[in-house]
Amino acid sequence: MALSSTTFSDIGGAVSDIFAGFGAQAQGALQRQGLDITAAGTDISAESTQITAQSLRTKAQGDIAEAQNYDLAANLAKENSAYTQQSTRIQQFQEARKETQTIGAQRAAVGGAGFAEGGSAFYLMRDSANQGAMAQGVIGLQGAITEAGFNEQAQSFTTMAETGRATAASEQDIASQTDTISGQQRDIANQQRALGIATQQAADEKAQGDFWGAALKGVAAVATLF
Amino acid sequence: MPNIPEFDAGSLALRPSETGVEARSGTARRIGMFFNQKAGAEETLARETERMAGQTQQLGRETSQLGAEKGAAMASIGRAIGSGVEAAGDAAVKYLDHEQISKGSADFTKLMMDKTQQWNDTVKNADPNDTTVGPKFLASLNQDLEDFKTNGGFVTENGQKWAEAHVDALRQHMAEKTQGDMASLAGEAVIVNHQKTINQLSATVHGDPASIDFALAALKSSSEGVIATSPNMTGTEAGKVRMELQQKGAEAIVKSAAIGYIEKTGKMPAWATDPKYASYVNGPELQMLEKAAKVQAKSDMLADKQAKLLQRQTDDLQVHAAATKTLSDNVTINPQTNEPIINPKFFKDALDIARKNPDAPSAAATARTMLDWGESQQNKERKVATDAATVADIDARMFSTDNPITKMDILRAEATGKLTRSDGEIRAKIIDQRDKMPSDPQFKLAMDGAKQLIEGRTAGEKQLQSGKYAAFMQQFLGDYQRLKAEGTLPPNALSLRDPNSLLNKSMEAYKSPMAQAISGNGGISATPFSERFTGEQSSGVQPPATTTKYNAGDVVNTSEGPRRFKGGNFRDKKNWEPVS
Repeated sequence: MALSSTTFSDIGGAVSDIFAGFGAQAQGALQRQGLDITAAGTDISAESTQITAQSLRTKAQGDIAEAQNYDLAANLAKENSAYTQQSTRIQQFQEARKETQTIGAQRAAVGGAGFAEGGSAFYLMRDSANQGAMAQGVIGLQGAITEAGFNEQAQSFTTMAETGRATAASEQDIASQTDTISGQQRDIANQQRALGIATQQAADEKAQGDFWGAALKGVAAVATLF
Repeated sequence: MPNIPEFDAGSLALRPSETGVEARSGTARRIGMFFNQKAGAEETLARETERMAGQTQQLGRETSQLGAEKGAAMASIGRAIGSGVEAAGDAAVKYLDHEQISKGSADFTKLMMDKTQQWNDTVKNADPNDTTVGPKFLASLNQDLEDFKTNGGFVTENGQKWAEAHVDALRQHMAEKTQGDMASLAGEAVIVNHQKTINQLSATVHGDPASIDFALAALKSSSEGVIATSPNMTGTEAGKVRMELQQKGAEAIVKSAAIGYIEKTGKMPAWATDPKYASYVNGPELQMLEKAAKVQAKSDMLADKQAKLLQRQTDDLQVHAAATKTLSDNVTINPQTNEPIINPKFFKDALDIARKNPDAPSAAATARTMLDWGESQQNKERKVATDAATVADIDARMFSTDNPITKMDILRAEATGKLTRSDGEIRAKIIDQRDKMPSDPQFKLAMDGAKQLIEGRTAGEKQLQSGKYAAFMQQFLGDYQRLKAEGTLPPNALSLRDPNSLLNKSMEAYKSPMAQAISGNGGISATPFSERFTGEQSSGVQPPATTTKYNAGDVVNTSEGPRRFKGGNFRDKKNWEPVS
């Protein structure tokens, strides 16, 4: 063997391999760094997911709080319904008393005037009784209407409260699932870091192979001289 | 009437009050509202927290994203730096590859050449049967190849691969080459050694064609034995050598037998067409053998004729030798009178020459000439004067190749009274010296040039210089032979242009007045022959002035040794080639 194009081919190959080795090392290091950063990004994404879950939980809390207030509002509406019922009865009683007072006054007037309770007086008193009854009826009806309105209102708040709680439950469930996702994202981040380590190891092995190749080619180049 | 008043309570009525209810209901509503306000605040807090968580996670995601981006960015930077290092390194390695391979190519080529040369030098003197030569060389080669790889500067992988591949290739090549060369060497050695066997067997069957079957069997057993015992020979090489030895050897033996038969009988052997030998003699060779048989028959006839001619020539040579011996044995020169003293036995010996060589064409004439000469020497009264024409002819033919003068011619001239005894004696001695001299044309040319310089060109000069040429030759030939025998003969001895040459120095006392005047004035060479044909003044050998004197194939002794004329322009040195 002696100096030949093979000698310089080997030297060139050795130089190329050395650079390839350093390149592989740099590539491996940066790829690992990139994967670590990506993993950090994934962790951040997991954090974001957790925040999203937290947001869902917050919403759920809001929904629950809202539901609780709707419950209170419903109770108040129910109390209003009860108040309306009592007020209707009071008004009906007052109308009844008023009717009674009116008729009694008429009877006294008639009697004072000496009118008999028949005839016009009767009619008058009967009319007053009718008017009273009608007033009582109207009041009762009005009360029933108002009561029904309050009941409806209470029912409405109850429904909203139940809906809010259901929504909160759903949100809690979604938040839990989102937490799971977050956990999975952290797993992914860990895998990315592991991948980064493996990538660097692979790059280091390649670099080592390149350096060995360069060394062998260098030896081969020297060997061509003998 | 009395009016009795009664108490009137008036209109009494209970009036339920709504105040409490209304107060309670109002309280409920207000409480709900308060809680709702608180829850609303908590929800707001949760939302804000969630928003912060989302933002934190977004921060984480962005941090992771930042980590991823930072890791990716660092890895990207690393890859970019790594790619940069790789690209820069790759470029540097390529540059180094190129540089190393470029340098390595030259070094490798040199190494390959050096190793190849080293192996060639090794194998050139190697024992073909030494099995350690190749391995030893490869061992040393391996060390050098390792040095080349390790010390050759190859530091890159590609450079080392290149070096490794080339070294392997060279190692493989050299391994194959060493094995192949050693195998070839072994094969060649076997072939060369065995060629002697083939030659001996061929000679045997040439002399005894009937032993052809035995010779072929001996060839086969001998070649198989040699191949089997050659340690460096590979299977392939063994097959090649077997083919080389047995087939070609058998062909040579069969053809030698056939030729031997033809030479003996002048006829084609009957077994030449036998299928047993068909693989050794092909159709054209059979035709050639048939033609050879015819030629042999004619050759036999011519040989007979030539034998007779040779006999006659031999007889003539014997006559010549006998005549020379008769003269030297029976004739001495009186130093006082310069007259010959003839032993009576001279005449008997002269007659014996004719008697002992009856078939020699020149025997009778030689005997007659000798008898005539002896008789003429007995006649002391006669007046003899040297005839100028005769002596000119003798001197002209002294170094002729066609019809050189002989002692018989001298004796004949003396017998006829055309040459004095002293002139004849001088030329006889020259003939003795001439016969000991080399017979190359250059010597004759030099002597011709000297003759002209000594005798001159005009009749008056020749008259004046009469006898000087012979005296010169007597002196010059003696000096020439002495120096040559001593091995101190200068290369310019025969040069006519060089005034210090042996020839010119020897001529000084004999030159004609005209030639001496020209030489004394330092003028142009008096030689009639040009020394300019090669442009080398120092040449000791004088070529002729014209090309007609040289024919292709002529051999001339020069200062650089013998040269053969190839034809063409004789002045062009390229037309002369060395003769071993």
